[in-house]
Amino acid sequence: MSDEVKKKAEEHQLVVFGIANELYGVDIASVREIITMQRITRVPRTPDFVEGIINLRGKVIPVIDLRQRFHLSIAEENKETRIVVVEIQGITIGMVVDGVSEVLRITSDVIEPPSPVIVGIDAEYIRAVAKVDDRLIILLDMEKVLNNQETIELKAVS
Amino acid sequence: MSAGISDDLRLFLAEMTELVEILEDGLLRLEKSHDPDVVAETFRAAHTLKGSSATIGFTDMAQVTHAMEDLLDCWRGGLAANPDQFSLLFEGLDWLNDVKQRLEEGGECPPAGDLVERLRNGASSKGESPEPALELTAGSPAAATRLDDPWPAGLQAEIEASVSKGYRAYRVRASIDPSAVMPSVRAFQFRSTIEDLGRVLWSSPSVEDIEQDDVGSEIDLLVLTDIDRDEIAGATRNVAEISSVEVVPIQVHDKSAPARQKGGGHVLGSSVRLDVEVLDTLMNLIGELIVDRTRLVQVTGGIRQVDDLEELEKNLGGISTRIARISTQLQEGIMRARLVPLQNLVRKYPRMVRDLASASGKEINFIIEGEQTELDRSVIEAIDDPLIHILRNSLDHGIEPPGDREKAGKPRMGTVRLSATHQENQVVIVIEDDGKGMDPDSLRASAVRKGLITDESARRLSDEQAVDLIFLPGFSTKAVVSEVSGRGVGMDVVNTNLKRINGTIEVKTKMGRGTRFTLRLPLTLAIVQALLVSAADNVYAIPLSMVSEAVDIEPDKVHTVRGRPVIRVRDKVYPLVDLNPLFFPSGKESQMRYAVITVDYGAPIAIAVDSLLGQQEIVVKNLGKFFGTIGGISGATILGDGDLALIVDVTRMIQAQQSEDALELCDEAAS
Repeated sequence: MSDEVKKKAEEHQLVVFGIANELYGVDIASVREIITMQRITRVPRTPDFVEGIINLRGKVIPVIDLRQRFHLSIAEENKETRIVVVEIQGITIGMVVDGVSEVLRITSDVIEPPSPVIVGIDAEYIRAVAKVDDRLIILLDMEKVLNNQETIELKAVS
Repeated sequence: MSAGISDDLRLFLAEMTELVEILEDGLLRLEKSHDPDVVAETFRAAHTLKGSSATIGFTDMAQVTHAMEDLLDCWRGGLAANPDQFSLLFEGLDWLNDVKQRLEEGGECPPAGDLVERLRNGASSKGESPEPALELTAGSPAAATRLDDPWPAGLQAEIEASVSKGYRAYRVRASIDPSAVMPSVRAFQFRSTIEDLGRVLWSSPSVEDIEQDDVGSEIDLLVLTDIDRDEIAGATRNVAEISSVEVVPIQVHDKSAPARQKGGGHVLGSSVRLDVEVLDTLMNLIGELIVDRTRLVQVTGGIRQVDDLEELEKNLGGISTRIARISTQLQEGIMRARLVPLQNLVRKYPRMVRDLASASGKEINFIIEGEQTELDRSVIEAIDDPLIHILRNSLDHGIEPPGDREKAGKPRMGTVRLSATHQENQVVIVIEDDGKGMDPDSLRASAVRKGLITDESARRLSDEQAVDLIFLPGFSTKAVVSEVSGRGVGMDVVNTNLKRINGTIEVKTKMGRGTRFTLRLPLTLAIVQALLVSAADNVYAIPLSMVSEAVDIEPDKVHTVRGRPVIRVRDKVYPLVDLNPLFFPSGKESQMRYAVITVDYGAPIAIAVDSLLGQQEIVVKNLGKFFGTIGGISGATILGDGDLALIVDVTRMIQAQQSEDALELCDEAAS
């Protein structure tokens, strides 16, 4: 009984952004900043979803395209396109998204484990889903998303 | 230092570091010449350390330092010092250094074993050298204890260092048949056989003894190798008139921690010692910067009301100029904060030289000059291995044994000098010795024999060029195991390591007179001069130190050899590498307007680009952990307009070109 009470009391703050008409959320604690799209310098021999590097106030940070990471359709870059800069496990990375909609406060009671049928992205990247009003927000497991293990595997194959 | 140690311990360790340094410097100086003031200073250091360690509760340390203090007291009283007493004191010093490292890592003070007793015996031995105790029971795997080691105590650390790197140490003993007509020949053969299998650190009879026919009926060797004892025993079976060969593995202290160099672990901690003045200067600059920042906010805030554009231009222009000046000074100030005196690095060399000298029976005067010269932290870390390698070269191959030197009319004591100076914006480090120098002919022969160059090429080389052969990969002359302190073998690795930090090395030698190595290093790694180029809409930076020249590409000078493009410039032919497709295989090809020709020993290449954008000082930025290592790219830099340019790793490109491998093989995934 007390567990449920605790669960209700937990609040999360999410940064909500869109990719290919779906909404995704990331814990605000990991988000460093959100910047407008800028010229990305390509880096050789990196997986497709790694766009390259950008200059963030004097620091060189890698940028990945979440749309490609999740094998979703790539929208045209428009003035809504943003780069969400996150810091996970000491690594700072930017992610290209179609647009950032809001910062949302949700309580644990709207969070559910992911249903087995989620269209679009691989289940391993999904930590949970949240139902807010009539919207479905997919909560991402950032560590899995940013894990560059695939790069290692790709290189082993080629 | 580990975070878990108390403040008291931290203070103690800081004091201990200083005192141990005084002890070591003092002992090294006393070995060269007796000086009552130095004796007193060293004695006081031991005395203070005894008191402090007793207070904090390290009884073993207190006992060891007490025994050391007693021994030093004997010298103070006028007793002449003998070499064994020095060995004991250095052993005590090694133990103290080991303890210090363990404590710094949060460990415990280990017991001192019989060290205290031996130190006490040393104090009372009154100048008599004890008989080396050769107490090996036949064939038993139990090792010789330190008490019985007949070899100089200084070698023990070397044994331990190589054992922790995976090598093995053996004591090999054999008897020479009494009926042997020429026992010294047999001894020589035996020693040579062992030398083919590994590195002989010590032998009795020594090389000199053998040459002077001063050979008994026993031969005793200490060897480092990576083969096992059966192989060693097997190899010696073929030496005639040698019997009862015994190969005993030598155990070392359990070093569950990784190998430690004498003088304590890492060259540099992760913290910096800074002059408060430097900090004050930086603070002042920041203060000025804030003033201009405020001005800028004001000006941009009032932009809409501005009707006098000239006034606006003047205001903004002034702010911009001041900010430029302030940021330049900030840059210089911060670079200065990263500088570390060379002394931090070379402090441990005298000890190493001393141990090597005594192990090989050579007499060496090691002089260090200019150790106050400052270098950037990253450069200092990078030159440690190369400097050690060059020093060992001088000691192993350069300086001759005292007997040889006398015969050549030289003083018995050889001199090795390491000096460092600032020259323009470089640091120049010179290591020279007055040893036997290198013989260009024997270098030529060696290179040909190893298949590194052809006979005719060898003959066409001038003597100066022949000496540069030592930098060829695969050249190193000694057996594989001769390099104990470095990770690789030979001058080739030294050269590569230096190139990687935009440094250079030159060697000059004169047979019979000596050898001099000159290293030139940039003041800092973080900022380099670069040539900016563009290739297929991408801007790249090529470190200027790797650029020899840039030329127009004349289409009629481009040919194909074995399917690969080359370009002829004057009378030389270079492989032509198109920059953009090299990194982005499906990317655009360059318009091949210019070729940037690289500097490199042996195999320069020409890099094809679209345009030359000019020379610029750039700040080198790492790509970061996310990417791992990308072959051919050494980092990125921020251009004036805020865009990024990739920095080309020319050395890797050349390596890849030479081995005809794809650059991919240079990639390493992020950990």
